[in-house]
Amino acid sequence: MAPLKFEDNIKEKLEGRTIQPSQDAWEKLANQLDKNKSQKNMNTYWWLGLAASIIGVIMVTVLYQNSEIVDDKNQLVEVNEELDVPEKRNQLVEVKDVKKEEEKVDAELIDKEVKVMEEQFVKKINKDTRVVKTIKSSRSSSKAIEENNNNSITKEESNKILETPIVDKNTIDIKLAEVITKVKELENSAISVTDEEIEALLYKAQKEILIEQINSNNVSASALLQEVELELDESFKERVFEALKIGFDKLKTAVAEREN
Amino acid sequence: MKVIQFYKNEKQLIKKASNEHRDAQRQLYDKYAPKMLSVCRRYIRDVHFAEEVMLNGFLKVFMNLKQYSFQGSFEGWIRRIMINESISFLRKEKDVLFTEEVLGYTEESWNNIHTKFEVEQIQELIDSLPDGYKMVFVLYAVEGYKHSEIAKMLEISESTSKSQLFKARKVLQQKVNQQNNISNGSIEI
Repeated sequence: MAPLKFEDNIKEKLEGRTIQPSQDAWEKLANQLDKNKSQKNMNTYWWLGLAASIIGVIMVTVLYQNSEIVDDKNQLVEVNEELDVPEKRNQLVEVKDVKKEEEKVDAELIDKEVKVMEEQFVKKINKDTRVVKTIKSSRSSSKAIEENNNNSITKEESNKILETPIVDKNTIDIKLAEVITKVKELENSAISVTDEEIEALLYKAQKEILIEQINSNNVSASALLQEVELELDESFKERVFEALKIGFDKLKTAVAEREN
Repeated sequence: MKVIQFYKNEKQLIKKASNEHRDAQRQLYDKYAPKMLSVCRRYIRDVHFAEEVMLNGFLKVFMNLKQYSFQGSFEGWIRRIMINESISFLRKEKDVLFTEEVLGYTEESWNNIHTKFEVEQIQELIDSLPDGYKMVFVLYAVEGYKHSEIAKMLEISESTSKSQLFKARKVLQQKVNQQNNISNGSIEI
C-alpha cells in the first residue's frame, strides 16, 4: 500500500465525523430566534415612530410658517377678496356704496369750497363797490367842484372807475361761473376732485383775470410773474422763456398805449 | 432525478426558512447541525463550548439567510460561518499568540509519518496543539484554505501563517513519535 500522507489521513477522518448536539440545543436556538424576532419588530416600530415624529415636526413647522404669512397678508390687504363667493360679492357692493358716499362727501366739500371762493370774490367786489360809492358820494358832495373842473377825478375817470368795478365784477363772475362749471363737470365724470384741484382751478381763473387787467389797463411786474407761475406746470425752462417773451410783448404794447 | 428533486426541495426549504418559517428552520438544523458541531469541535476542545458556538453559528445563519444567493453549496456557506464563529470564540476567550520562530522542522520528516490514526487520536493530537498552531493547521490541512486566505481570516501575514503551520507539524510529529515509541513503532505499508 502506498503510504498515506499524514495530513490526508487527518482530513479524511475529521471530514467524515459527526457529533450529535444535545437535545435541548434546538430549544435554545428557537428561543433565541424568537427573542431576535421581537427585537427586530421593536426596532422597526421604533424607526417608524421616529420617522413619523420627524415628519410631524416638519409639517407643524411648515403650517406655522404658512399661518404667519397669511396673517401678514391680512394686515396689509384689508379689502382684497375673491368674487367667486356670493358673500364676497355683497362685500364688494358695500365697498362700491362706500365709494359713492365718499364721492358725495367730496361733492359737498367742493360746493363748500366754491361758496367760500364766491364769498371771497363777493367781498372783493363789495370792496370795489365801496370804493365806487365813496367816489359817488364824493361826486355828489362836490358837484359844484366838478362843474369847475377842479376835481381830481374827471368825468371820464369817474366813469372809468364806475365802469372798471362793473367790468371787474363781470369778469370775476364769469370766471367764477367757469370754475364752477368745470368743477361740476369733474363731479359728473365721477372723478374724485381734490381740494388741490379746486384751488388750482380758482388760481388759474384768478390769473386769467389779472392777465385781462394787464391787457386792459395797467402793467405790473407781479402780474407778469404770476402769469409765468401759471404756465410753470409745463416744461419749466420753455415756459419761463415763453412767459418772459409774452410779458415783454405786453409791456411794449402797454408802454406804447400809455404814450398814446 | 433524485438529486434534482433534493436540490429543489432544499431550495424551497431555504426560502421558507429565510421567511422565518420555524419548521423549515428546524429541518435545516437537523440536517446540518451534527456536521457543523464536528467542525466547531476541531477548533474548540470543550464540546459544550463547541455546541454553544455551533448554536450561535446557526442563529447567524437564519438571521442572514436572505443574503445567501444560491451560488456555491449551502453546506460550504454554513461551514464558513461556523469556522468564523469558532475563531472568534478562541480569540475572545484566550490570548492567541502567533510567533515567527521556526524550530528545527523539515518537510521530509513530516512526510515520513505513516501511522494511521483513528479520529479520536487525531482529535487528541490536534487538541494538544496551542490554539495559534491549531487554527492554522486545521484551516490549511483539514479545511483546505490557502495561506493567503488564512492570513486574512486570522489577520496575520502569510509568512506567519506558514511558520505557524510548520510549528504545528513539528509538534504533531513529536507527539506521533512519542506514541510510536510507546507502541514500539508499528508501521503499516
